[in-house]
Amino acid sequence: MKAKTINRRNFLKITTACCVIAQYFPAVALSKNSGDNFKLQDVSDSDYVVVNGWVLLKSDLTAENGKLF
Amino acid sequence: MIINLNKEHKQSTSLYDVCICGAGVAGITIAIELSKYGKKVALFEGGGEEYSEDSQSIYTGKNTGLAYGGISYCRLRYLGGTSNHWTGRNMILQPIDFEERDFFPLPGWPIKKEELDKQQKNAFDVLGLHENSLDAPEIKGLSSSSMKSVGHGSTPPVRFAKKYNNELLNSKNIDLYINANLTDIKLNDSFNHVSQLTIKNFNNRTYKFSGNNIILAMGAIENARVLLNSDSQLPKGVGNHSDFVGRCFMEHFQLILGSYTVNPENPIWLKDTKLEFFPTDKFVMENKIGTSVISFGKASSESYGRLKVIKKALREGFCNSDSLRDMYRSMFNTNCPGDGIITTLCEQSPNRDSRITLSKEKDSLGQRRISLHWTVNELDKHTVVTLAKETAKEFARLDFGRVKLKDYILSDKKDVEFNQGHCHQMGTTRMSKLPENGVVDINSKVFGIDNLFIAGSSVFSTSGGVNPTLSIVQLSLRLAEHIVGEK
Repeated sequence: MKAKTINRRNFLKITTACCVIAQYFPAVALSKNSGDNFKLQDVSDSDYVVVNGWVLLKSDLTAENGKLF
Repeated sequence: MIINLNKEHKQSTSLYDVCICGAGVAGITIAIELSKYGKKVALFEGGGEEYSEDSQSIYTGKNTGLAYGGISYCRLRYLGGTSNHWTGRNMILQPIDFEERDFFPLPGWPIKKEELDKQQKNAFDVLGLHENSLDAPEIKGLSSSSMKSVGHGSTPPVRFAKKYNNELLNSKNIDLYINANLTDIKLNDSFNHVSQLTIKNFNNRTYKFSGNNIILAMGAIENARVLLNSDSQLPKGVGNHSDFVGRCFMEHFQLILGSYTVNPENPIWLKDTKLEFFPTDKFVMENKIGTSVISFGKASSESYGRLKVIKKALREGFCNSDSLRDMYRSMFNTNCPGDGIITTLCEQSPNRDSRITLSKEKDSLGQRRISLHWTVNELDKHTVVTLAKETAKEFARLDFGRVKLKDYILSDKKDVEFNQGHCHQMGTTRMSKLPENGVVDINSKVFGIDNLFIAGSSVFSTSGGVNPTLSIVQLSLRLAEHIVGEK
């Protein structure tokens, strides 16, 4: 039996859909887990905050361009 | 002299000064040291001079606990033992390892660190280390009350059979028997002295040997297995007065704590720094945890398995795309090649329930195989989570970069996935001050048996957070010195 092949138009549609969906993943992950990840379990550490698993200094959140490095 | 018991049938009538069972790191070290003092030594190696399936298959066993693939592949059963694939990394047990940590389930080492320090110079000679090989590297900018730098040295790994080949073959004081498998330890009528060893070749022909002193040096799993299998006189096996033989099996946890990104402006990254953290004694005691080397490395680009070509292509496709890279990492809970990942060589606390017993299945020599039940406790989980969080905080505070911790560290809903060790098998005939807490005393002598000693990592009271080979050599030299001085 001859294997089915995807034509170029459908391939582009699928790839585009994946890229569009991918943009939302980080946001979905953050909102889903924000209750768990937004701050460290030991709340006495006031100098640190956890964002999407990243352990940051609070001063990192005020960085002008939003990038750390 | 080397005697191949698969080929030669001569039964020796000699009474050796010392019979050593196991020709790996510990056994060879002790045999060489004793021979220098004129002791007549019989050194028995269960395998041959080279790898064989006949011998290696003896190591197969059952696993009933945490996923652990290292029952067989971690060990090599031929002359030189596991040194034949050792990577050559050396570290020293830290002072904290010899302090009493009353939050541990069992008492720690009954000896002081100085006892091992006395053997450091000789052990360095054995392993090809220089005086300063294990000095802690200076890490610019590491000023922390919770984390420090710790010394480690990698040398071309010593293959003990090759290094000591000349002495093993030509020393008039060493008779090296290969294909010589210890299958039974016979005690006298009072059960306080080893009177005879039963040794079998792979044709199941039996030989009997005797020695003034007997040393078991077959590794943590095999030492326990032989003692438990030697139950013709005592149902619980030899040396098992307190039911500790086989218990407290410890490994070093190999875990990925998270990933990291560096601050390229921090001077620490100007050189090709291999950064490792180690908790300070103060942090360990204040937080009641074990210790660990915490390594900042890079994710491998290797793929494994039948689908490795497809996996590699998929990974490269996703990881080379700015828009798909993070989605790939989140979806598959993995890293892209070159990502910084943080891994551990983490101490396991001694735990009676983590143990080796015997299964009903027998090997080709008629000996029951092992059944390993590797398990962890809440202290181990607390150690991993505490160290991970502190590592991430310090990394940020020191501005080395930033760490992204794995979900299992931050979430109460996920458990730590202990499923990989470093092939550091320890603790199954632990050293203790009192017989009720262990198998051997401070001289590595089995409690209650006046001429039976145990060498190697099976006597470790705690595992520490360091590679064990150097400690094994130090303890072996210490045992040899004790035996030379005894009679």
